[in-house]
Amino acid sequence: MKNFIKSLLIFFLIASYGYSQNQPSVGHTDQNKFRQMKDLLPTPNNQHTASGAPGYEYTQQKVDYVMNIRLDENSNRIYGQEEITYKNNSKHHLEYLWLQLDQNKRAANSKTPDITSEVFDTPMNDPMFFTNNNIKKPFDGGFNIEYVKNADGNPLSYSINQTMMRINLVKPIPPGDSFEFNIKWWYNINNHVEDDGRSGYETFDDGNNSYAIAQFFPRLAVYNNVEGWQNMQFWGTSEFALEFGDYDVKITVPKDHIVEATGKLQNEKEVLSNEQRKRIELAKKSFTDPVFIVTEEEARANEMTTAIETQTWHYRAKNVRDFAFASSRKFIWEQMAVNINGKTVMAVSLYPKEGNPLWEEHSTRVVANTLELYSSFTFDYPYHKAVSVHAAGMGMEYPMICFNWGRPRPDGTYSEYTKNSMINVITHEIGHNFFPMIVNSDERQWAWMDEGINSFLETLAELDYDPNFDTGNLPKDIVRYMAGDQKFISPIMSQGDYVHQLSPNAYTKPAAALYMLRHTIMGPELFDYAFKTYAKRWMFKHPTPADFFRTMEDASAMDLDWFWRGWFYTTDVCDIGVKDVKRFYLTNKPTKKAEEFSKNYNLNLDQYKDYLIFYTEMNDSINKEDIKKASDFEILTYYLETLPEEEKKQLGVIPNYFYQVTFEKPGGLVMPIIAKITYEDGTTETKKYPAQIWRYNENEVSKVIKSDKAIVKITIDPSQETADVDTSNNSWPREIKQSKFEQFKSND
Amino acid sequence: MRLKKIVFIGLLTILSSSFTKAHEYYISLTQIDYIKESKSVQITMNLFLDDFDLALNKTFDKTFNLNSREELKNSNDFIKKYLQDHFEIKVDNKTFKTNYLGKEYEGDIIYLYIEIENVKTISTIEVKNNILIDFFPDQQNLIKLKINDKFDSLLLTKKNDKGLLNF
Repeated sequence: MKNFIKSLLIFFLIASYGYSQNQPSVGHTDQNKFRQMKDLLPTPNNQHTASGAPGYEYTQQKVDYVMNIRLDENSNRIYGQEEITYKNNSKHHLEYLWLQLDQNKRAANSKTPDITSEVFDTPMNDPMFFTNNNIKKPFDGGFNIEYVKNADGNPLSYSINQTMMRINLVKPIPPGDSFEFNIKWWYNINNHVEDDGRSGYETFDDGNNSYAIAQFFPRLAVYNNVEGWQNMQFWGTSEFALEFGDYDVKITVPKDHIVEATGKLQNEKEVLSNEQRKRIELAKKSFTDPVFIVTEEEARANEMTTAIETQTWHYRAKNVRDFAFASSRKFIWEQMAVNINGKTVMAVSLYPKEGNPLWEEHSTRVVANTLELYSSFTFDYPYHKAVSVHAAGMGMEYPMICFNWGRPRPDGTYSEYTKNSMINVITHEIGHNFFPMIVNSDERQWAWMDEGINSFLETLAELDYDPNFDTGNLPKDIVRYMAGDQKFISPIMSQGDYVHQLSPNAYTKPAAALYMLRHTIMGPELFDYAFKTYAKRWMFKHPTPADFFRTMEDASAMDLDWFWRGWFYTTDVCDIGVKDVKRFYLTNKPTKKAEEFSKNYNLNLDQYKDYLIFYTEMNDSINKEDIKKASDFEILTYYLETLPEEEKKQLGVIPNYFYQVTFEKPGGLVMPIIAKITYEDGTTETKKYPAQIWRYNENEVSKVIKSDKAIVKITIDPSQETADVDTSNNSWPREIKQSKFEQFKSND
Repeated sequence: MRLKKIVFIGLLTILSSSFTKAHEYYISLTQIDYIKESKSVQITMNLFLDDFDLALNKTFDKTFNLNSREELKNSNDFIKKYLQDHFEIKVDNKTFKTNYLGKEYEGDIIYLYIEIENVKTISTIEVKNNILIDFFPDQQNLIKLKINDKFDSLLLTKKNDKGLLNF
């Protein structure tokens, strides 16, 4: 038998050799979907290692700020003065420093409007809109730099290129040295309700403002091992890359304002009443319900009058990558204790009465839930608080503090949509404390690294808050985007400023991809360990995509190159279906195939009557009564009975039916095949074949399923785990699905 | 003189949108199937609920609160009106009357069902769809058609809000 197969093999080898001799074909490079990512990932080094961990030569700069800030409520201006200490931990001499002037995106001479395509289609305007749209000069919200001086008070030369400012050093900063300098500036605060933005003020009907202030100071750009200076311009879309450091910030505001900010309040006694401080102490012990530091009643009274005097709130923060604050006389203030692995962290909310009743019901609880869930997946939240501030229409994150939307109607009622959207944005922005505020990836370069990874954990946190929450980030939710027009789709691994639809590209798709990696491909146990390893390795450091991809493989022994390549580097889609099912039965009647086979070996089948079990498809020469069950074959029963006891123990189910199932894959992504088998008795079983099943042939593969019960139905991806874009080929027998239209009409 | 303030959505506020959350893509999907046996053109349109709600609010200066307990009672009348103004089908160069049958909600999506009756044959079909485009300049209205066992599709945008196909 062996020899026969061998000679057959040789025959085919010769045949195919002859064929290729006659028809030389065009060669190709390795295009297999499972080829390793050597062509895509940077060569590892001792800063970013092959395992995905920071190496022994990894360095990171440190920038400390001492700032005096004044918020002028009458002119809506921020005045600031800062003393910056730049510590050059790199091995390089730095000839200049780059600072980010993000507010210059709003300067009168900003180039952001210039690169925005416009159409004119306004049919009419009232005089106010006509004036605003056509006559008014653009708002000038850019930085006005009053001076840049070194520690001795001598002016330092600098030049400004849009949103970036270069400090021209007299002599380079040597490795290991520090450089101190001072900047004084002011700028006009934008109205974030009218013109959007990641900070600004909102004016309420009562004439009062609430301020959500960020990117308010010239901040150092990142200098690292992979980008040099990260000084790509801020056009308004791709967010920030920042260094860690210590902050000492004094904020002067009207005396009746309530302030929250990044960092620990240093002068509680000066700015808070005894009653407020007593309530803060109470809150530190309240783990189930928030405690009001300022009640709605108190806030209502406070907003009725306007203080002329000012007072200064003093904050210190260690090891943060940024600083932001909120200030208003309208704020209600509440705090609740959260137990993070034995350490008490404060969940805090700050909102005007216009946020109620929604905010008092959910904000602080959502903050607490988010801190707990994220900590369990990464590391214990290292800061002492996390604050959610209500700012109309804005969702934006900063260390320890974030600005969130979710406003009920004026009469206090709200839709489910408003409520869910608020829970969603608070979870998301509080979650950003972990990515990128601590695991400090570079959003200017890779939006998905903090938005996508954060949206993934956000999804788990929302499902933890409410198991029925519509997160919008599950694999089924990205089908619509992935199945859309390819012209408007970019790979996840794209820089955010030119991506057409950044939200599904950098938020939903990576979140859905990581969700399926955890639930469908790796399993929670392998995934969670590797994911935690990534978070811990890069906590307070600057990771790159390669560090994430490599760590996930290094810590799990899963080769995921195919997954990253497909999901992150291409716009391919998942589409897997059942192409064909061949059914085989058992019979004692020799089949044509068996007869032909026997002839080749000069066997006489008559001699083996009742000794052989034949496999057959249903066809003309086989009748229903010829189909047998395995138990009908006495010879098999006898054989099984005579087996030694030890071997009997090794026996499984005796199959009666054999199915050769051919799967097709019209989609470009390689993915596991998840096939739900439904048997004649109504029982089901789900078979899962790893993605590597496609390694030889990525268009079509087949599997044989042996069973004691007849299969009545096979369904691919029954629980919508793989973002399959076309489910019309997902079942056998092919289901003629009633269209949505017909379903609607027949229900009506 | 005091004038009533009319709100027009300024183009710039939409173009300079910089929210860091919420769906930033604007796409609707309309499936058009011709069922010859029943001489019926079956149209299923799906749209983002929040966008559609906003478009209705702005168009009719009312608060619709779609898919909530407070939903405007006769919201269907307005949806019908909105569809009449923004969705049009010509079969073999003749405008047909579209019947709005109703709507369904599924998560953040609203499904609208529309039928055209008494269509004996189709050799050409022209679809005009500028739903939501007034309010979202980036809106893409994708039309998928299955007519006479043939498949085709159209991508309608602000610049080009109608298309003609032969079947």
